[in-house]
Amino acid sequence: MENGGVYGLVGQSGSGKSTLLRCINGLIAYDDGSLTVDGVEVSSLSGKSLLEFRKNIGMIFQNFSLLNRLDIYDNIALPMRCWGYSKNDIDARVNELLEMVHLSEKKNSFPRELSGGQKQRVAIARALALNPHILLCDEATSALDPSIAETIMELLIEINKRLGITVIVVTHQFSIVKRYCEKVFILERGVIAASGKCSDVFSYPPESLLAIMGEKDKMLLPETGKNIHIMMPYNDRSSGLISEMCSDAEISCSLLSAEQERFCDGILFSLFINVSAQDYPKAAKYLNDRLISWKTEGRNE
Amino acid sequence: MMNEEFVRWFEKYFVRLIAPSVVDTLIMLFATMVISFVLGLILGTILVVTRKNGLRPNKVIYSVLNFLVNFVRSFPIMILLVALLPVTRAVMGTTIGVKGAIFPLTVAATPFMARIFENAMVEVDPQLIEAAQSFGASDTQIITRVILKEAVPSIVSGTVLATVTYLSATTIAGAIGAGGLGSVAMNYGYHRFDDRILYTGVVILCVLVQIIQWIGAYIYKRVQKE
Repeated sequence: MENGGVYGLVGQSGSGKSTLLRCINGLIAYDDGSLTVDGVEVSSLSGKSLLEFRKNIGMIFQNFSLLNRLDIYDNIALPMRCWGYSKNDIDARVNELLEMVHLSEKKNSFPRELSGGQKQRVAIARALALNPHILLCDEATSALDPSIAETIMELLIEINKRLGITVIVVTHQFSIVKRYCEKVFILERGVIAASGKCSDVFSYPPESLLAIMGEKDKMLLPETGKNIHIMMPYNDRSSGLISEMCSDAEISCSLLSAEQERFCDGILFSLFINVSAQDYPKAAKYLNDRLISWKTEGRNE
Repeated sequence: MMNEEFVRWFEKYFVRLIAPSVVDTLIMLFATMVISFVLGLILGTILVVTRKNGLRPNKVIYSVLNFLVNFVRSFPIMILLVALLPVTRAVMGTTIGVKGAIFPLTVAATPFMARIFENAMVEVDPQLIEAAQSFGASDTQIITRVILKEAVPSIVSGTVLATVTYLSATTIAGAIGAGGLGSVAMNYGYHRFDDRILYTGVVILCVLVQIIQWIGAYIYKRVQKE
């Protein structure tokens, strides 16, 4: 992973994604392998240097992990108090962070008075208090409504853009990863089974991803003819593709599904069509000539 | 006539006997609770820190302390007071009076308090501790700023519970030479068949328990609001 990106880490429960995340900031020690953050081998750190190291890595959690007996201001100030910042510095920074997460008016409320989304925003502010380079998100949106989860992710993206903080998201919500992450890593039983740009990985999902997604996302495909899966950037040309292809290449095809999928780098248009075996070479040539990404799907390849 | 007799009784027994014994009881209770609160908090914190999954797990320290706590707590209070007599004499120089009672009562109350505090601190959400670790808080900071801070309401309610329990323990100690309300109720009320003294003692104890509960509830409400 490079600095400044937004990365997704997905996998089934028990695949080790949360554990891997905790290895990054040294909350869990690893026996094997090597993990370097900013050129530092994490396992080589201990005592004071480990605490200093963690200062540079913020973390947010599924259940927000706010202290119930501290108000919002004190919750956000806690990391700085632990690091002995001066009162004035703390005050300035907390107010700045409250503004960043749009919660200035809740300064003196207590966590129990806030909604889930607001609590997570407080947690984000707290995680950013010490100016970290990296922000780890452990199922940070899993306990939230989809629309609230989106606003939280949008806030994280905004922070990533504005402050250049690397964001690493661990989640089982694919829609979140798909839409907001640049790169995705799929973990299977503690091993990275696949990785790549989100739009690539999700367009043509590898086995490991299909295994996690479950039957729901698998399409019912006809057994006769050839099934073609086309992926292209969504633009005003893309919706006319099929009719153009049918008339230009003189083939007939049936449409199985058409979907727009949002990724962080734009909208992709995903098309499943079925053509007869004799029309297949013509369709393939037509698509190849236009540099459109496609592949065959189903048992009758 | 009745009034005159009552006034004489009041002069003789209440003012000279019962009232000072209430003061003795309160001194014993207060000293016991203050000392055992401090020691219990230290002991409870060590138990929480060294237990499995604690901040610094240490099987040896935890097992030894855990055994000691269970060992002392397994004594009925009366037996413990008697069994400690030689130690009390060696430490305090006497086994009777308020001075002789504070030592064994503290020995009995400390493990009790330690267990209450340990439970209060164990209940703190482990995720909060993880969050504090994630921003680089030291173990000491985690104990003082997170665990103890979040456990305050449970610590308060546990202390109130212990205070009422040890109010009754002071009266038991009173029966074996400690003085205080317990010994007055026992020696003047029960052994001399003086129901008036016996039940006056009972009523005063009830009032004391109520007062302790009121104060406890007030503090609890205050710390909850924070």
